[in-house]
Amino acid sequence: MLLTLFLTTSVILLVIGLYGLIGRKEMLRMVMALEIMFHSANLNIIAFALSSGFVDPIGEASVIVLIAIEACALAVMLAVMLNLYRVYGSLDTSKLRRLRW
Amino acid sequence: MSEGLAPLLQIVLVPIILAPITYYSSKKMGIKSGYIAFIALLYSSILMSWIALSYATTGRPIIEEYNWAPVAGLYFGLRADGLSIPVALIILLLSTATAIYSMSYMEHKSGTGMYFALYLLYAAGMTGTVLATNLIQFYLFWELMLVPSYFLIAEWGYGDRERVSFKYFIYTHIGALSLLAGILATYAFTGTFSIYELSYKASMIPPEVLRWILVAMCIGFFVKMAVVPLHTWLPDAHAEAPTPISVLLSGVMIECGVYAMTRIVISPFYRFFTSFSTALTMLAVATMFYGGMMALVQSDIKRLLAYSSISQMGYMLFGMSVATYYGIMGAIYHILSHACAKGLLFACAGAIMHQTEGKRDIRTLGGLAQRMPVTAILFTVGVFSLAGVPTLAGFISEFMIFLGGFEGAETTEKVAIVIIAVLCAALTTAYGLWALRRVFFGPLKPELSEVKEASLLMLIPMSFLAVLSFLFGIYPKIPLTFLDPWARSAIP
Amino acid sequence: MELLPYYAPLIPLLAASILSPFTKALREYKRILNLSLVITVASHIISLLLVIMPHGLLWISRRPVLVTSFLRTTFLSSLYVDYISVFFICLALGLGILVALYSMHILKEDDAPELYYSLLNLVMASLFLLFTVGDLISLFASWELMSITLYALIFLRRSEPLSLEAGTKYLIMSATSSAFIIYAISLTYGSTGHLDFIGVQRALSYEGDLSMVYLAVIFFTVAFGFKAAVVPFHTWAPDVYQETIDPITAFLSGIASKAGIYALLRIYFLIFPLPGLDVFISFLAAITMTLGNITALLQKNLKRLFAYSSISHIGYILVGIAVGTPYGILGALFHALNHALMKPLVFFCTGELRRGYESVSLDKLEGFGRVSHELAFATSIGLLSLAGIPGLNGFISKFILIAAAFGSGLAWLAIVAIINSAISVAYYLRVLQVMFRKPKVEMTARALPSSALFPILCLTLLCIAIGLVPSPFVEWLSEAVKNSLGRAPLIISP
Repeated sequence: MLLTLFLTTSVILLVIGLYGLIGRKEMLRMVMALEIMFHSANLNIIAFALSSGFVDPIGEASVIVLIAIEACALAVMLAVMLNLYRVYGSLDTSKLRRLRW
Repeated sequence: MSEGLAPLLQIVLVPIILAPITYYSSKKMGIKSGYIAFIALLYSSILMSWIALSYATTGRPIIEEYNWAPVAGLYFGLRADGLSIPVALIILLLSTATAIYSMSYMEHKSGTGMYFALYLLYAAGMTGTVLATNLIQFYLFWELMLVPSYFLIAEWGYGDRERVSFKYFIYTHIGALSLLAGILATYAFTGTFSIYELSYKASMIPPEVLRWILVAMCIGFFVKMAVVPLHTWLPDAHAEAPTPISVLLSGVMIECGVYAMTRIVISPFYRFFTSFSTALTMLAVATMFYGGMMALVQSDIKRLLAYSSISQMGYMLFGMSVATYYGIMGAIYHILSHACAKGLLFACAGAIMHQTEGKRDIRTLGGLAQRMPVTAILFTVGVFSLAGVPTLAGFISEFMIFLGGFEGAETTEKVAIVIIAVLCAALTTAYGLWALRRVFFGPLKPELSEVKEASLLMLIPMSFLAVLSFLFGIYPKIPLTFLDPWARSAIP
Repeated sequence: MELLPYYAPLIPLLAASILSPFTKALREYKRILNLSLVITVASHIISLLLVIMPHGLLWISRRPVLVTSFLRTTFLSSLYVDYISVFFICLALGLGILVALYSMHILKEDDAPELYYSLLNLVMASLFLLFTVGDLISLFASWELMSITLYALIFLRRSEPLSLEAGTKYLIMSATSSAFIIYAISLTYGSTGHLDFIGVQRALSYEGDLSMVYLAVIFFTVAFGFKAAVVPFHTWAPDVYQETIDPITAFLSGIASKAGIYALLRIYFLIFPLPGLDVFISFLAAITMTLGNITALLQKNLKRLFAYSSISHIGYILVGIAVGTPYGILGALFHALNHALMKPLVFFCTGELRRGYESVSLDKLEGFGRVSHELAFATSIGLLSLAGIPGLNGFISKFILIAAAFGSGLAWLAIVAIINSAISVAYYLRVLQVMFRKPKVEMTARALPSSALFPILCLTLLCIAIGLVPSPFVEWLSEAVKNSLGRAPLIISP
């Protein structure tokens, strides 16, 4: 029962993240949506780790590793955003359409 | 013949290896680097003649096999037998003769080193195609003759050469890919790429699949042969190519299609092929008729010869499609006679263009026999050979083709088709003689009064081809020594 | 001692860490450029030696080897090495040397960033890890390390708007693909309870309901297909290939896309050997080839054209994966090798063109073949090889792929591949024609510096050599496929 609840939450988070990624044009919101997607997956792993009756150390350990890696990716994304703002003067990705075909 | 010498490998490899050397030597020697190309091809021709002699005395085919990528089922083999010896020999002889001719032709043009390097690769590609024992290796050489000829046309051609060469490449390459599809589908069923194993593994392919395989392969060959619905690249490419290359394109390259069709389609799948016979015969007659009619209305001399080549391809396809002993032998014999005659005619056209500073429109020419008597005689020989005048090679081959046609005609309709085909041959005489009259006879145009006879470097190879035409016309036994045993064994 | 070869990834990592403070401290990075190059090349060569030395990685992986972590379980941080890993490692290291060499004069002329060689070493270390790891978490970690290093390399010219735009697109799509990987990992973990390759594979055989596993495989395909530029996840590739500096373009198309192929191979044939995937992959292969080729027909910019051609070649490689027989995988690996030779070759050439003629637009390059002969020769070989002209390496592998497709009943895919080869010839030929056309403006050739000439010459010769004598490569690869797939690994616990 608890597992279903967690899994449903995770799927809802994934959908929210995907919607944010596709529907929003602002870089900052897109990065936030990405973070939501990452954490929906993390939540999934923790839920599965609990489901076997005892706390599976592999799941727990994996999630910690994953969070660390995601933090690195996030740092790079923030740095890129900073550069983007300097050059383009905004974070609106719909302005990034000089390269076509 | 010693095994260690690997004469067949030498025939193919010597021109390829000498190609870069020719290119680099041209920086020092200029146009004289053509002699390297000539010597390479002469060497190959002599080796090939030696092999021909040894085959004529022993009657055993000469086979060489090398490993290439055995895991992928690829071997590299060369084989000289009754079918491939005459065709390979004529390819080498014509390219050797044209190499000398090129030296005169390329005199005032740039980039001669690259020209002769590509020329050697082109000749090696054609020879390799004919000697190949394995379908993939065959395909390799098939493309090797395409790529250099594309560059030759694109770089040294006339007119809108970029578009023409592009069209040539795309047409032939798509044909080649269709051929590749056929080859790979054959492999999927028989598990072999060897051309010689195909004949007894042919039954492993279900008939309904085999039909499509043969169609795919035939499309590939027909594009090269310029059979009528697929011919449109030929008049452009042959007319706009530099003349020595036109000689090779028309003289031997498109005939490689005929050779390949005999070797890969007819010989292994003979029984199945005969069910296509009637349809292909019609196609052949259409090609003959269309080529002849179009040749009649051309005013550009090279375009006229190009359309004439289409019509001649119709003869060869006709001979093959009736699929009788005489028909197929006639088609192969026609490769020889057409190579000599059409090579000669294109060379004459090139000589005229060279001497009149690029005049190629028949309407601006006339009466040239007074100024270029030797060229006029040689042109006449070429036209007569194509028209099938006895004592010339064309007579023997056309005679055999039509004899084969009547041999295979059991029903009235088939007899009617053969009669139409024979009547189409009259077209050849018509356009040939008419072109001859308009170019060489009649009053001499005043602006042509300064024209001189072509140089010896051009006349010697041209005379050589004329001599070959007579030789094959008077002693048909020479090629038949090779063709007859092959045809007897291949055609049940 | 016997585990020494497994520490090979540490060498580029070490080189990266040596180089990074080095270049930071000495502001005059141009003065130590030569030294950085020497360190980079040395680190690559030493790692290569560790792979091929007696009792090296090559020797160890005669059969698949699984090295468990210090916990003596196969749960986490394990290594999985077989001939396929070794093949990709050697490919990456060999090309890495050439890319490092080629970068030399580009860095000297442009305003080069300080961390370049350090990053190049780091990405090589991450690739080395990626090709040897044995569980999904480590796979993801090395994958992210590679991606993040590649972001840095792509953002080298971060002050230029176009470059920034391309990089941003890449970043967003790459991050999305990472999210997909984690989600797929979570699904795998949920349905099998394992995270290491062999554990998942063994658990699958007892499993009843496989829908979650199939979903995981699709998510993995999306994510790894993104890096390999599989259509419809390819949209970043042309922009990024066009806008990054030329050695990095060569690196991305030659090696980074092969990392995606490696991961897909692992997913399909080691971790999730499920039935019914071939339909899915062959569909992807068909649209990847077709879309790549048709879009390439429309391109005017040479680098963009080669980017689309790269996409279509990934499609050819997928044909081999879709076929899935040892012969097909042999074709896929061989085509990966050949593509990793041809594409860097043409990208190096376009790099030299950009330097020499200030543009990579086809209109501006008219007739360069008549001026710079060496470059024209190398480009022609690259183009003809890409077009699959017999006698050059591209033909042999394409031929194996198509023959494999015919042989295993995927005749429609083989025909699509053949039609695509026909289409692709059109645009390669157009480039050739533009090369040898009479130039409209006066052109002067610029001599190639030796750091450009050597990699270009190497790749050209390799293209010709493999085309003429493919047998050693084909034989080794077929041995590799036979040794790697479908064999239970030898388990080593330290």
